[in-house]
Amino acid sequence: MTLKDGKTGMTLKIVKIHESDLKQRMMTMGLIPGTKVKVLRSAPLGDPIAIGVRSYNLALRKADAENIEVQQVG
Amino acid sequence: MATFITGAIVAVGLYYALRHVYRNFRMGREDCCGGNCSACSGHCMGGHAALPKKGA
Amino acid sequence: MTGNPNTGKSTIFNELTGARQKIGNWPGVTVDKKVGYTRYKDRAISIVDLPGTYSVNARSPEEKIVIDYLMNNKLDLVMDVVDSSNIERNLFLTVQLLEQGIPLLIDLNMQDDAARRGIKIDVKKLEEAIGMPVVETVGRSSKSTKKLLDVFTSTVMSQYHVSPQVQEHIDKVQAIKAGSQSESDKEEAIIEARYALIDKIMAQAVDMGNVGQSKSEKIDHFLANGFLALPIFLLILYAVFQITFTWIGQPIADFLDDAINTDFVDFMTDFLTDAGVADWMVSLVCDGIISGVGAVLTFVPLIFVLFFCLSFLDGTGYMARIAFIMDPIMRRCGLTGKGVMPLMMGFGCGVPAIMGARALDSEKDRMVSILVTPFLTCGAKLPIMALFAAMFFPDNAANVVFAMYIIGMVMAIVVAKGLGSTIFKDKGSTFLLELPPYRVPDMKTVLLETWDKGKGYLIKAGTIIFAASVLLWVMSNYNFSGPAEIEDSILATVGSWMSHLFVFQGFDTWEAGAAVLSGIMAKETVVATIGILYGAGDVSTEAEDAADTATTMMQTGMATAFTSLSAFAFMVFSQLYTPCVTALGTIKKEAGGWKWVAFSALYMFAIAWFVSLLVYQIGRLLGFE
Repeated sequence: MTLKDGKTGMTLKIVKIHESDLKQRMMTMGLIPGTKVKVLRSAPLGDPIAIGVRSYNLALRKADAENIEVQQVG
Repeated sequence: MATFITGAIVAVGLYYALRHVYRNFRMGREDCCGGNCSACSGHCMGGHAALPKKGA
Repeated sequence: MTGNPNTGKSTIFNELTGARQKIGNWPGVTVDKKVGYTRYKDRAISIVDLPGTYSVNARSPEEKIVIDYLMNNKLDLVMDVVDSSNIERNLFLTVQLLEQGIPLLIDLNMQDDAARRGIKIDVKKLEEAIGMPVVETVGRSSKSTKKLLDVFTSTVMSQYHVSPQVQEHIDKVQAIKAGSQSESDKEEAIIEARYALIDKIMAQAVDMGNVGQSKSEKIDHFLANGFLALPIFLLILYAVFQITFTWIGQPIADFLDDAINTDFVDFMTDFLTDAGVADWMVSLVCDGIISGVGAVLTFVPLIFVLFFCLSFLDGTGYMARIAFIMDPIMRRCGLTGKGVMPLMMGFGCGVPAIMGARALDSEKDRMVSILVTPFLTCGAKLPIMALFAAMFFPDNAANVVFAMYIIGMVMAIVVAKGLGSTIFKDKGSTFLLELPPYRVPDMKTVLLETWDKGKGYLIKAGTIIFAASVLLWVMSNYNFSGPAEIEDSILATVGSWMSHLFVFQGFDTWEAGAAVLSGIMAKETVVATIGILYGAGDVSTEAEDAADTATTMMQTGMATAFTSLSAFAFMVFSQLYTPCVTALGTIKKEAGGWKWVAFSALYMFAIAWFVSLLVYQIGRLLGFE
């Protein structure tokens, strides 16, 4: 699955980040394979989503979340 | 006489005002509200981009 | 001082240096350079506040400034301000700086926040893990300030060396750089190596034990969650307007109006006449300069109260939520939620807002943002709205002004949509944004910021508005054959040409025409022009007993020149038409070319003309006057 499919409250572990313009910036912000993220909530109409990562909160769009392959851990 | 003094004060004021405007223009500076806010460090009306753009 | 955004760096800087700050520009870029000075234990200390950045990859002007400054200057000490409650990601910058061999003092700020969230950081172990000195602070407190000053004056940086594991990391980074991978693969490998080191340091020195749900999350559950977030946003915006236009700002403005435009004008008129100053000079000073500059100064309280509210909101961390909850709407207009931030700046002034568009990621976001920002109600347009609302809609002033703000925003969104689907029809935009924790803003920082932003308005009143007032006075008292009645003046002639354009909008008076024209110089001059043309100046002597300025203005002919409906149409027009020359100049710089200047000047005028026409004509059909 990808981060896009994550439901509110799920804890996910990043498996792989696919190539995109945003890849390096996402990595700089702490999204690295192996990192755990938690889906926190979504904006009106369900997109973008807010995730908790490395003890801070980050907002990103579903279109970009789709590039992040994850696996559910809780 | 009084007219002359008043006129001189206005003229001096005008000189400084125009000089300020001219210098702003020449140096490409603005003194509009919040004019130097574009990179306020950490705090800024309007918040911040999470990350600077790539390749800039 | 360096550090991530939202770490309380500015607060510490302000606390350390107080008002002893110099704000300049970094060479070549319009980014603030803040230097502050202080003395402690007989040592003079100067502190440079570098722009807040997440990394130093020289990807943006700010990042480039930070890394260039750190590399090219022999600094005694670099303080890296770290938000303790967010230490993990903050350490990324720290590690990157360590790689450069910079003498780093790590300031664990907001210790109290971290403790409340259950994050325990062992300072000794952190020092060992990194090899550089670490100090704890809690944001704004005299104890923290003293502690920092003690450290500044006592720490000998040459005694510190990076720890073996950091050295190992540095060697590894060098090895990756020397490798044969592609540049982006190298960069990604280095980023992973940095986080691997951070994970190690975290395990050694930080106990994340039982990090519970933070307060921010609970607040976000209401303020940034689903549909409810939008009405709450509007409500907050509305409260800001009530504070500015009803509760606090307007009463002070009314008082000031009285003091300047009645008492002071009377005093100066008497004083100058008694001193034997010629009538025309008295008129220049009183009807020209004082009326013109005074009309602008009257609104200083409104500007400062509004800026205070916005700075306060920004300090709380709510601004990032606005971007988050507005993204769905902005995206449908082909923009990004992040674009809301420069747009919000546009409520202060279009110029920094246009510059702020630089932070956006795609060319399209940037151009559209630049072109629609001037539709918003900047601080200089606010007096126009406030003046007309107070005169023609005394019972609903705040609501009418609020409506103007909404019209500006809606127009910006509609035009953005239009531009996005026509001229800038290319790929979409991106959105990646930190949602910082909510905090109670530090009052000193909010006040300093309010002053920083508001003082530009004061400077303008004293310079360009002053000069414009003199010019307008001359133009309204003379024509090419000498002194003239105001109806035969140059200004009346020019204004009446202009006014032909507004026959269908109901404000085809030469005064309105002149005001519109002067507004292109600077929006404040619209009010200054009105102040001079309908000014209290020539009626003030007769109106001595009727001190109330609203009534004074009522007697000046402004009340009869406009109906409520044409006043409303005039407000709409002023809200939307051609930006001031300064903004146009910035558009040239940022959008690159006169073509865009001409484009924005003309299309905005056209839209303003058309929309105000619609407002007036539809209003008439509905039976309004």
